[in-house]
Amino acid sequence: MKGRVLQLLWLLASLLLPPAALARDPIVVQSAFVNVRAGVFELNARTIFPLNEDVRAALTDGATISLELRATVEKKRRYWWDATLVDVTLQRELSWNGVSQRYILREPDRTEQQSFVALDQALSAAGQVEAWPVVVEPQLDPDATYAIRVRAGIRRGRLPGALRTLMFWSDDWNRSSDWYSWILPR
Amino acid sequence: MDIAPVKRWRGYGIIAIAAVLVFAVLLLLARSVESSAQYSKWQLLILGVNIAGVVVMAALLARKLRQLVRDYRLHVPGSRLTARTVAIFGALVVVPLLVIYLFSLEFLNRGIDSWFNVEIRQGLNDAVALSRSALDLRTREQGRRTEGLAAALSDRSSASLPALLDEERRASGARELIVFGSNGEVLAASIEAREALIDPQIPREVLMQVRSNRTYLSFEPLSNGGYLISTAAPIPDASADARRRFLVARHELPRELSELANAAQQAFNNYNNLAYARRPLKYQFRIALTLVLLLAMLSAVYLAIRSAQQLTQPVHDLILGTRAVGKGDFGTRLSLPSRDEMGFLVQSFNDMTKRLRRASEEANRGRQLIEHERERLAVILAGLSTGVLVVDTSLRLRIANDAADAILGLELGAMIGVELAQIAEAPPRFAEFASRLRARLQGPGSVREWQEEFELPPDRVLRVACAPLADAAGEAGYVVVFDDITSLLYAQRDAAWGEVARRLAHEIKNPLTPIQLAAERLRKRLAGKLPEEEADILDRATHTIVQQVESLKGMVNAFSEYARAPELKPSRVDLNELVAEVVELYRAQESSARLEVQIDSRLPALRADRGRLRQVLNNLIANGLEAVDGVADGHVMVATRFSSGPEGDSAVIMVTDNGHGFRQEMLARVFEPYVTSKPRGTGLGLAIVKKIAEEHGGSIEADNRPEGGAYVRVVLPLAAQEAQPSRGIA
Repeated sequence: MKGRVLQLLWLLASLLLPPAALARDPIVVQSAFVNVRAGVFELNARTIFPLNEDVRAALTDGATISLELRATVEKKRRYWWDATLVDVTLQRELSWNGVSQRYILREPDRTEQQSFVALDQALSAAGQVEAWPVVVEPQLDPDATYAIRVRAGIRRGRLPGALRTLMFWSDDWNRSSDWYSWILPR
Repeated sequence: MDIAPVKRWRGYGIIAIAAVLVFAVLLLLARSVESSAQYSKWQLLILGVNIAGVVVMAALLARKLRQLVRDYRLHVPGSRLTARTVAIFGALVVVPLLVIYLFSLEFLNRGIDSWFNVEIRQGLNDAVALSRSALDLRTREQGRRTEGLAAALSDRSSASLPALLDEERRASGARELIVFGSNGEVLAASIEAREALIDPQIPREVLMQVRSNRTYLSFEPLSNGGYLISTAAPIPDASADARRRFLVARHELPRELSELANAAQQAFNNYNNLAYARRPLKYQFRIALTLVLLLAMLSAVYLAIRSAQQLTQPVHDLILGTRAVGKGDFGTRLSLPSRDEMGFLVQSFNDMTKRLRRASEEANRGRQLIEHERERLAVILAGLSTGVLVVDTSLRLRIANDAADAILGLELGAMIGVELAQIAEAPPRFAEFASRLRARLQGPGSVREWQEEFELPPDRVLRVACAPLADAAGEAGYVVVFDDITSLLYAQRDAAWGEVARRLAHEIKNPLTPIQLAAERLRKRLAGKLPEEEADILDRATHTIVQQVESLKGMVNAFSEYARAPELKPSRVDLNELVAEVVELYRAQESSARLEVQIDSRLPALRADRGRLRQVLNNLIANGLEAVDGVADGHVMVATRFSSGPEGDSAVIMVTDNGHGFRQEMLARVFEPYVTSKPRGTGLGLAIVKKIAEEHGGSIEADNRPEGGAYVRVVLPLAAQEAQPSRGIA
């Protein structure tokens, strides 16, 4: 009975207490800019993902850590909410290969992967985005103003949506950076 | 068309559809929990639908419960039974469900925890470590081979290196054998396939490692799931000033080994990922289980209420039906709920109400019949000239007809329920009647049935008959039937007197004429033969004889007149004219009395025997004048009057005088023959008048006047004479 009460209290505490270690190291979009090349707006960004023992422990426990960079392009409107023109996410997965003792960085949509001996190298590579096409010129209204916003996020594992929803209150892995936004240069 | 079964089947249909939906949603929920990845997109939707189902079910249940509570508070028939049934059903359903739920939660927690025990994790970890150790061994072995090959290349010229490398690569099964210079430039290389060249550059960490004369060993995963073993070793050189060279060898791990290693790694990762998802997994199972419980419990309680209501509906109907029957509505018919015992009960109720209705209808018919008979009896009683009283054993009046009122001179209808002796302010006639009746019914020696004549003051004679009334409980009272036979007695007396008169007239009148003739002959024969004195005596004697015979003749004629058979000669008679004519005759005679006449000009001619009416007037006027004889300022008034009343129009002859009036003791018998206060009267005058009035269908009454004197009032009906002549009128 006592054990059950304690279990219940722990459950409540886990639901109510703020996220633990990972919250100490914020995710930061350090820099982002867009290059227009042949009518394609290519995003370049550098994100600092937290590098700490939690991440390392999770990876060595076999977890796959999703590292995301979400970009939206919104058309500015004067008397109404801005219209979202583009909402794309670049997803990368970082995992630990215990057999080779290396960190594997890959994009789910691609077959290539990179391996790193050190975690900082892997995170640095994961935070580096170069020439990511987010929007093309024909999509844009020449007279309109567009804002581009970028946000990086980190999640642990490949939990199904429902489980992620259930973990919403207690999952300190499901975190994002602040929005990094600027006006899309024309 | 009875809509109740339609509604019932519609309700069943809705319940069936809802049950299928609930089952489907729960099934989806279970499947989504089992295969989270497969149902990932729909999981929240399924969860939401389940929660919505719970909310809808809770709302339906709340509605049902509110209705149940309201019915219970309002004491709606059947609500308590429904509540009790629901409580029992609910307890039977909810308690096992809760027990199952709690045990399921416990099993769930223990089950999920048991999936992730330490031994499994450690085993997987060890498998990965073992794979790594095996591959490390392989890598070191490969490193030693690379060192050996590098040593073998130490005394070879750069020109001979490619051929040697090719030979060695084929022999060792390497993908690449490359000799780099001290600055990382490629001096010679043997590559399995040029397009599969992994890296033509020597990595910096390799360079750093080999520059310090150490063998470089590396093992890294490939995108295709394989592993690449990279080894590098410095090529020893005999001359000190010779340029440093390095041999880099890259081997791909055999496929079967790579797969085994990957399998171990994958199992380890999967396990840890699942372990990480343990808590949300528990949440998910708990939520799914809770939703299943809630849906099942709410549905069960809802169905319990509904079933209880359906089960108690016949009881409710029976209660309402019983109340309706209690209020006298025997037409209540209940619809048969089913063919079970409740249906049998309802059928029995319907049969009962059917029989009750028949009985009620028969009772109503009987009551109507009784009422009808009562009305008929009342009509008969009202139409009877015979008085009828019904009294109970305490002599309380129960029934009295109109004739009884008339005979006893009292409105008895208002006295129903009153004991006869308690009826106050009763006339002497009734008081005497009640006294005699009580003495007869409650006195000593009373008999059950009897007949008797009651003489009641002042002059009534009733023939009374009594019989007991009996009901199922015994004697219930008495019925007393009585007739006023006063008139009958008078008529009998009149008839007797008529017979006497007729006999007298017959027996006396016949010898009178010979007597008178004999007396006159005696006087005639002896008048001149006897001395004067004796002749005088003879003359006086014969004169007296003749006079007395005349007197006797008059008397006999009067009797004869009284006894004469009623042979009326009706004609239209103007009564006013007749009165005037008769009065005029009397006025012509010398008399000290004043004779006055009052004529009612409205009086029409009536159909009557003129001669008899004249006799009536003669007798009445003569009596009146005799009555005022010797009275100072005596006067006699003869009046006619037209009277109109409920019994029809009538002519009234009223003769009043201011004489001495009737003696009180004679008043009751004033119309009897030979009843007279006059010394020389025959006592037949008023008797004849009465007889003539009755022959004309009329009536007569006589009484003293309060101011002195007397009056005689003769009433002759007009309409009856016109339309229906009386007995004596042909």
